[in-house]
Amino acid sequence: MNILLQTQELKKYFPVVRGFLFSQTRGWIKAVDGVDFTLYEGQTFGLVGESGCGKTTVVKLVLLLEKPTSGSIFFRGRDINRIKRDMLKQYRTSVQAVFQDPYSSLSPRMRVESIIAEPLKASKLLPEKQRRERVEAVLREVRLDHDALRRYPHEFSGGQRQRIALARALSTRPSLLVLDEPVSALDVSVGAEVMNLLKDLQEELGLTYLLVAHNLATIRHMSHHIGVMYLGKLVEMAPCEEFYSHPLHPYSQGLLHAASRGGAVTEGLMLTGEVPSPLNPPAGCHFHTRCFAMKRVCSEIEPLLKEVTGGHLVACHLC
Amino acid sequence: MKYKGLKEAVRHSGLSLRRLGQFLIRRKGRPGYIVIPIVILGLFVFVGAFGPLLAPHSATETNLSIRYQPPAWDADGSWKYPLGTDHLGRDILSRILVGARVSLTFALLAVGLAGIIGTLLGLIAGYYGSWIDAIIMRLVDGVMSLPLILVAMAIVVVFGPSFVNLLIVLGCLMWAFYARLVRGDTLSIKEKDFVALAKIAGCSSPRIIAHHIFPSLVHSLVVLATLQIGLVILMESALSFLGVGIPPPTPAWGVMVADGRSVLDIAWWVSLFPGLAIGAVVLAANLFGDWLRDKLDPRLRQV
Repeated sequence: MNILLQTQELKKYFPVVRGFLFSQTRGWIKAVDGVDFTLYEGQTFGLVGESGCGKTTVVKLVLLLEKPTSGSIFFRGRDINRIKRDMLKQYRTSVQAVFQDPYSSLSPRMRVESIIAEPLKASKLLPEKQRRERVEAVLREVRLDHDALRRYPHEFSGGQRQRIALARALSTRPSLLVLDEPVSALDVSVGAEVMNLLKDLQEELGLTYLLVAHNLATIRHMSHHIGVMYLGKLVEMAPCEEFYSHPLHPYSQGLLHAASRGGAVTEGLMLTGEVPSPLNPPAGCHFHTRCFAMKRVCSEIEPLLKEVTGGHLVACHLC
Repeated sequence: MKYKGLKEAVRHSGLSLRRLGQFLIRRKGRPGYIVIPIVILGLFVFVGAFGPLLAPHSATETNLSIRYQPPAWDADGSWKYPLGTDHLGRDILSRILVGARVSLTFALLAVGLAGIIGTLLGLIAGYYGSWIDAIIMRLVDGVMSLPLILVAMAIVVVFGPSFVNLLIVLGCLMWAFYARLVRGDTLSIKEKDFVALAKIAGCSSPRIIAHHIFPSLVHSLVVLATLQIGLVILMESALSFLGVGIPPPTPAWGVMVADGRSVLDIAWWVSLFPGLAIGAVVLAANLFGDWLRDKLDPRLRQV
């Protein structure tokens, strides 16, 4: 398997500034604190975690909407924060994104045709005539009718809009699609349709996905590898089926337990309490304040991500 | 019999005073009074375009033998000069009709100039943020704190009164309103996903501003510009009245009001009619602007 994108010790800290005239940095929010993961070509990496755990910041870093505080992102072996302008342009065309809210991701005063063609226009990738053909081609790929081109976004439903957003993302023939909660704003049935479409497209076009979601079922349906984030750190990483059959980290077990709901609620596995503030995370293992299996060592020493079985990594003293 | 037929016809056509009243006050829950300002503004624009063709007399030619003719309905008046004449024997009606063009072009140009400067600076401040934003917004605060009329007077006194000077002065003082509005809107629009996605698509900043942010601002701008038209006409009239506006013999409404100031007790019509014209147009522009705001952008109520 070829590696498409890899992050190394990726960190993003946001300063907390207080004061008006003589502002001072009072601390740092460690939104992403040393995250390493690898995207293999043609596969999906699913990133799960509760809200506020840093998933979206990872997405912003990969999309170059934010600069990392430290660490690197390698795309086909090149550090994307240290490449030249023309290479950067190439990166822009080979990485595209679909966001959560289809109502805010389409420019309200542009026709669907211009919306889909915009990445092509901005990157001057194709001459006018081929551009038009490409737009029609991607429209067919997302199963939308040809007459959608002349209409405006507000004339479409949420699912249709999400497919327009997808068509736009596909127009430059990217190799990596970043999907930030692509179906969580949609009805269940519409969401399932979009997910299946995404899976089909992955097969047809050999796309690589970085999928971010809080819904475990979505992640399971789509992903080949899974990473679980908690307060800016990856706490567990494993191939999909391995993760769902043998979750190791107590947090992952709690998440899966909360999602299953079907059987009796096992008292110990319930996730209780609030996520601690990322401004002042607990010492040792960040999760120890909510962990059912907490030992003394957990509040003192921070566990590192280590490989337990083939390809299954976990950051926990107890595993 | 004849009248009965007419009454019958009116009834069948659905026209009645009562209906007209209902129409003007309330129509499908919304005030229908808006017809009046629209008619006044329409008339204003029409007269502004064709005024000189409609005027029965020259607006600038003087004839001292007919000075201070009263309006037509006065015992001494004649229909030759329906609204009377001023201290130089010029026809008031003709001067109002010709003066409409001065007010209209001035208002459009001043609002346009202020709008262009303000929108550009507001977009830049809102989009780029940081120190650029700080500089532009402090400039806005500075301009906003100036007493408009006083500064306009001072500048015009230095550079001499002329149409162009007055235009530049008002344009350079009133852009701040637009900059503040546009910056605020830009700040909220730039956080929308479609702007992030445009960046991801590789769009340049000018392209994002022009294609994604500006189109969402247009209706706030239209509302503000409409409200500002009334204000600009008022300012221009005030400055002309004070003698630092549009210089004579151009028939500006403000100058005309000033002309009759000293003779209000014997020739009230010289000041009254141009004053009414100013009042009607400014009121109509404000009412129309308010209505437009409620329709397009109720959020703007504080402007």
